This record gives sequence, C-alpha cells and structure tokens, in this order.
Amino acid sequence: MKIKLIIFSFLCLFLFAKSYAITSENKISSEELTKQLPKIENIECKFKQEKVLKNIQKPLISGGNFKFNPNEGVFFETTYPIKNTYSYTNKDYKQINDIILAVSNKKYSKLDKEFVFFYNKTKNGNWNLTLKPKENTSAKKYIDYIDIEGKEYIKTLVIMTKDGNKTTQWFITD
Amino acid sequence: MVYNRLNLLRIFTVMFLGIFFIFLFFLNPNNVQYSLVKAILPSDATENSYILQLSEKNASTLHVIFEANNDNLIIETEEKFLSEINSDFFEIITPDVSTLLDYYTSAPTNFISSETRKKLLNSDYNSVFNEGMERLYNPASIQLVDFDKDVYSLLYDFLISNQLTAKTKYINGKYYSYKDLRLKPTIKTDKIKDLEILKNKYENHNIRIYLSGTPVHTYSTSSSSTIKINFICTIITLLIAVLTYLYFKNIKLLIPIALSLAFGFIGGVSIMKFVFNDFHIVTLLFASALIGIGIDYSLHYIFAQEKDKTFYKNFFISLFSTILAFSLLFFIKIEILSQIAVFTISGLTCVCLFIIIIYPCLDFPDAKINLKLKFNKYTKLLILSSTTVILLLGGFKIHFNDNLTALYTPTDELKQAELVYSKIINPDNIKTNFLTVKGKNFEDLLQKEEEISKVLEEKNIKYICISNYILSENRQKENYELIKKLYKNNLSEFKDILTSKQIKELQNQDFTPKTISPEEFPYSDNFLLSPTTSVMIYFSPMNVIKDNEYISHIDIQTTVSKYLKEYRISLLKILPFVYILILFLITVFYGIKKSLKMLFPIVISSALTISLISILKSELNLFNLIGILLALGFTVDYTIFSSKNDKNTQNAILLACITTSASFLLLSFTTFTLLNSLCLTLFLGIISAYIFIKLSE
Repeated sequence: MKIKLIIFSFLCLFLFAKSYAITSENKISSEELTKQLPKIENIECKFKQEKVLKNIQKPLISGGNFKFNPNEGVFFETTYPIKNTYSYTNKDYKQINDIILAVSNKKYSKLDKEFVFFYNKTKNGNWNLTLKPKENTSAKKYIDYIDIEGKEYIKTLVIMTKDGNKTTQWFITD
Repeated sequence: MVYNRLNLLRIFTVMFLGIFFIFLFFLNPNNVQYSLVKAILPSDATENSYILQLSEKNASTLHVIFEANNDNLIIETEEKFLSEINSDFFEIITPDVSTLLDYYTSAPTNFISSETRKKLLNSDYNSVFNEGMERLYNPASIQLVDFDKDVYSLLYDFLISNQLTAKTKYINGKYYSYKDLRLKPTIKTDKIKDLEILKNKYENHNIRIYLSGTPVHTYSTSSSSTIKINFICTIITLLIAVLTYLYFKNIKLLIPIALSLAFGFIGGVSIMKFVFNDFHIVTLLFASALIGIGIDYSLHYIFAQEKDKTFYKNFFISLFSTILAFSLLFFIKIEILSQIAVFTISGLTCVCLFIIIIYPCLDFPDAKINLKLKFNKYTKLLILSSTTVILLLGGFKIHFNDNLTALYTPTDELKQAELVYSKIINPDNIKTNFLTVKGKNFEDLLQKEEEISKVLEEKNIKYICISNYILSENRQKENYELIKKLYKNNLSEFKDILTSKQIKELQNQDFTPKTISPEEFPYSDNFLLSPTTSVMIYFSPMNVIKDNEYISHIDIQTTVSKYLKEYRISLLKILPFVYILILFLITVFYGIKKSLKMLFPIVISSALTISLISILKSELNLFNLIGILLALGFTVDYTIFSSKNDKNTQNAILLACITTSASFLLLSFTTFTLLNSLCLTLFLGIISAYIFIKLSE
C-alpha cells in the first residue's frame, strides 16, 4: 500500500512538473502573439452558449446568431431559450468589445496590462490562447482565465470566473 | 540723534513693544481663510450653520476631470494620474462600487433599483422575470453573488441604476471621467501644485485634464495674491523712496519711515491674529495698503517745522477721525471688515506710537523742494463743469448689485473647468437644488431621504443622496417582502434551472437587515453634515419639496447675497450720520463755519466718486459704499492739516495723497472684486477729495 502511495505521488509530481513545464513553455509575449494569430475580419455565424453556474445542476444553454464587425462591435442575437440581442459596442459593454477587438485586430498590447498570455498550436493548425489576469488588476477579482480556441476564426471562447461559474461559447461557421 | 536717558528710554519702550508684538504674532498659529461665504455670513445665526458646514465641506473637495475623444485613453490616463497622487495629502472620495460590494453582496435581496421596485409594487412579475432572464443569458454577465442567492440578478440591476459601474460618460461627442478628491485635514491648499504638475505631465492634444472645486480657486487666488502683495509692497516702497529722495535729497529718511511702518505692520497683524482665530486673504491684501496709509503720519511729522500744540492737535484729530471711520466697520458685521478695522486701527496706532516715541530723538532735514498744486481759473472751471456733468450722469445711473457672484471673478481656466464639471454632473443644465434633511438618528434620516426620493422619482427628477447607496433597514425589509412575493409568485418559472429544494429554500429564507453606520460607510463625508443630517441634491427648475422642521432648502448664493443687501442698506442709512459725526467732532476744535468749509469738499468728492463708479462700472456694491466711508476717514486728515496753510504741510499732504492713492490704485487691480471695488473707490475718493480741498483754498 505504501509503495502504491509513493508511486502515485511521483506520478502526480511528474504530471504537475510536466504541466508546469508545458505552461511555462506556452507563455508568450504580446509581440510574439501578434505573429502567431490570424487577424479576424467580419464574421457572421451561429453561436451556442453554455453557462455552468455554481450550485446549479443543469447548465444554461442558449444560442442564436453571432455577428462581429470591427467597426460596429459584437452582437449576440439570442434566439433560444429567450429572444434578445446583446451588443457589445463602443457605447455598451465597452470593455468586452475592447477585448474582442483587441484579439481580432491582433492589438494584444492593450490586453498586456491586464493579462498574461499562454499560447499553443497543434499540428492541424488549431491554436489555443489562454488569458490569465495579472496580479493587482481589476480582472483578477472576477476572472480566473479566458480560453480562446480557433483556426481561421475563433471557434470556442471559455470564461472561467473566480466563483466557479463557467461560460462556454461555440461559434459555428458553415 | 542725541543719546541721553530719555532717548534710550524711548528706544527701549519701542523695542519692548516690538518684542511683545512678535511674541503675540507667534503665540497663536492661525489659518488664512479664503472662503467669502464664511467671511460674510454671521456665524451666530443658526439658519446659517448648514450653509457654513456645507461651505466648509466644499472648501476641501476638488474634482479632477478628464476629457478625450477616446475613453480608453481616459481610463489609462486616469489610472496613471491617480496612482501618482500623494495619499498623505489627498484622498479619493468618488464612490467606488468595489469598496461597497461586501455590504451589498452580504444581503443581495435587500437591494433593488427603484424601477424594479415600482414593477414589484405593481406585481409586474413577468417583466422582472424577463429582465432577469436577459441578464442571466447575457454572454458578458458576471454573477456578483451565487445564482441561487440572487436569481433575478437584481443586485446588478441596482448597481447599474445608481450608475455605480459606469467608468466614463459620453457627452456631445466626447468622453469624460472625473474623480472627487479631498484635501486631508491640516493639509494646505498649496499642495494643489502637485496636482497641477501631474496635469501638465499627462495633458496633451488628445486628452485634457481640468481641476475644479473650491480648493483649486483658493490655491489660484492665494498664489496670485502672494505675487500681488509682493508687487504692491515693492512698488509703493520704490515710490516712497523716489519721492523722499526728490523732496529731501536724503535716502536715509527711509529708515525711520520703514521702521515705523514695520512696527505698525507687526503691531497690526499681531493684534489681529490675537483677536481672530483665522483671518481672510482679503485682510492680508488690504494690509499692504498700510504702507500708503501709515506713511501719511511720518510725512506730516517730518515736514512740520514746529511740533507745537497745533501740530499735535491736528496729528491726533486726524488719527482719531481715521480710527472713527474704520471703527464703523464693526457695525456691518462682516468678519473681513472687522478684521480690516482691527488691523488698520491697531496698525495705524502703532505707527503713530512709534512716531511720537522715536521721531523726537531724530533730526530730520528740511524739504529741498516745494511742489505746489495750483489751479488756474480755466482748470477750476473745467473741474467744476466736469464734476457737474458726472454728478448728473452718474446720479441717474446708480444701481446696486448685491449678488455674491459679483464679488469674485475666477480665471478663464477655472471658469472652463467648472463648466466642464457642471456638464458632467448636470448635462441638461437644470437648476441644482440643495436640501438638508435632518433625522432623529441615521436610520430615521435614511427613511426621510427615501420618502423625498419617492416624490422626486414620481416627477422624474434626478437626485443624488446617501440613500442611493445605503438603504434604511425599513426599506431593506420592504424590498425583502417584495422579493419574497416575487419568489412566491414567479420563482417556479426557474424550475428547469433550480431544484424544488432550492426554490423552497429561497421562498422561505429569512430577512437579514444589513446595516452600515455612517462611520463604516467610506463616503459619508460626501453627503453628511453630521450623522443625522445629510445634504441631498436634486435637479429641477423649481423647488418641488416643501420645507418643514426636518427638511430645508439651502441656497448659498441667495442667502449670502441677501446678507450683502442688508448690510448695504444698513450702511446707506449710517453714512449720513457718519458725516454728521465727523462734522460734530471737528466743530468742537474748529468751530461750525470752518468745519463746514472743511467738510464740504469731502462730501462733494464722495458724491463724485459714486457717480464716476456708476458710469465706469454701472453697478455698485456694498464695498464701494465702504470705500466711501473709509475715504472720508483718510481725507478728513488732509482737510484738517490743510487748515495750517504753510508750504511744508501742503507738501506733506500732497506726498501723503500720492502714496496713499497709489497703494489703493494698485490694489484695485486684484481679481477679488470685493477688494478692487473697495480700493477703486478709495483711490477715486482720495484723489477727488484732494482736488476739491485744493479748489476750496
């Protein structure tokens, strides 16, 4: 029993070290990130959203039409289970709009002040970008991390908050 | 100078007095006041206590405003600016929602916005449910508390409704942000200089930074006043030096003159500091005129060939008449004027004391030149006809402006800063009304504010008050009851999301009032005059709340202007009696016929001065009338000394007139309308009195 425990501990340590190594290796500066990620232009597609809230057994599923235009902003036209359009523009939810614009226009220096970047690219061309709030920033109080995955376009967006709530959005292009 | 026992005794007496005054000077550390409100309002009147308290609060609150076309730039610049502010001198007092979250999140069902309250009172549960669902499915929404504690996200709605989350405002094509700062106690306004340095560091063609608020005006006024006081003192000193040399070809005369003025200044300031806890910057500015006023006595002494009984009679009558004129300022009950009176009376007395004690020890040279002002008949005719025209034109134009705002003109930069601030706080430019609310205790105060808020909301009137942020226990209980009804009637709509156990628990939860004392609330000072008295601001063209024993509107400008008008009317009634009193005084020594002849030119000069100012400035104020009163005190000296018609006395009077009027002319260029009204009147009154005295000879 004792030996199994020791082996298990080593395994955990190994995995931890490996993941730490991977994480450390994947850390990237905003200048390098600019070279890696594609610039994202206008997008119109479907979206699906899943919100997993703490203490709630069932995830909240919604979906509808998504539109992104660098000049106008971001629009989520939710068609189920409720009908509502959420817009993140220069006037409304400006900071959200700024993050999305920054990622799509590859102006990561704006996000540099608030976030540390971790980047990973797979062989089939998919990339994964994780944003973690820096210490003593306003984002740190609420956000644990933001995970973005894509190829030519953003495919998924995951927002994990400090209180254990998770929002996942899938963007479905034809 | 002859060194004998008597002379040594004189010197020691003056030295002893000087040391005593210096001791008195350092005994009481005083503060320099800049508030006109505090200087004008009588503090013993209870109805003024709120105004004075509010004015005191405003005296340490300033605003830093950022303006740009890009609001990211504002957020970045604001962060950098605020991070460099010295927290030993300033504290940021703009309410920050993150400091209040613990208070709100500990009992989220107690806080609902007024809009949601209305819907719940009307049992419009569907509407509240739909809004809750919109917030729930919002991709960018963050739960402030666990979902099962605030299912409808009503706390977030409450914070949004109080605009507690907005970082910038978008007005007329530009973005704005502002932060309120407070000068910490005992910190002087010269620390505003640090903010100016930061402003210059971060301001550029993309972003403008404004500083506004009372301390900024105070700092601006004090810096320019210091420069002006130094400038005036320098110019007057140079003028005295030039004139003294011109007359006596001896620069050493400046030494006793300077010593007499220094003695008078120290005596005047020390006694004023001893009598008053704080003194006003206007008093200090006026104090620089002592040079011009005090030198008159030195000149009369130096020029006089014979220091006989007649000389001393004239000397003391002229001092006494000046003291009498200044002492009448005590009746007007404006503290600035009382301070000016105390300073001038004690300062002049000390100057004369120095002259009487020390000057007999000294030998003064004779005047080397004799400057005589004479008017030929054509000049006399011109003066008289101009006077008649001015009296007629000006007489019909006499109009008084008792408004407080007429007493101070800010610089263009400060005016612009105040306009920008006003644009942010009150973009529709609706009249701002201040209301004081008194409660038996803090809870009662909040409840009273909530009642007033209800009335204002019904009339769609915007308002700012402490109950925007802290709700009374009573209101929290009401909100809880409304939420309970909402849960009972509508929570089942969430059956797909919540378990039945969760729904039941929510429907049966107990009410937990969340209290916060004024001491715990970090922004109490923004709203409270005391733990049981608050100030509410609402924006409406007219008063919509009725005053009663707990509620009263305060209007600083109107109240102070009302006092200014009362004082002005009192003075208008007193002035004729002052002339009669002076006439009576000089009649005792010179007889009625001579006294009338002596006083007549001064009466004409007073009328001419008022008419001239009416033509030049179109509006007169209380301080023009005070100038007339004081000019009477000064020019009676000239007419008294003129009665001794020898060349030396005439030279002394001319020199005294030049130095005194030059001091007031320089002071009339200050930005303090109060002071420039007073000094312009004195300048014109003294010059015209001298001319008419000469004409009457």
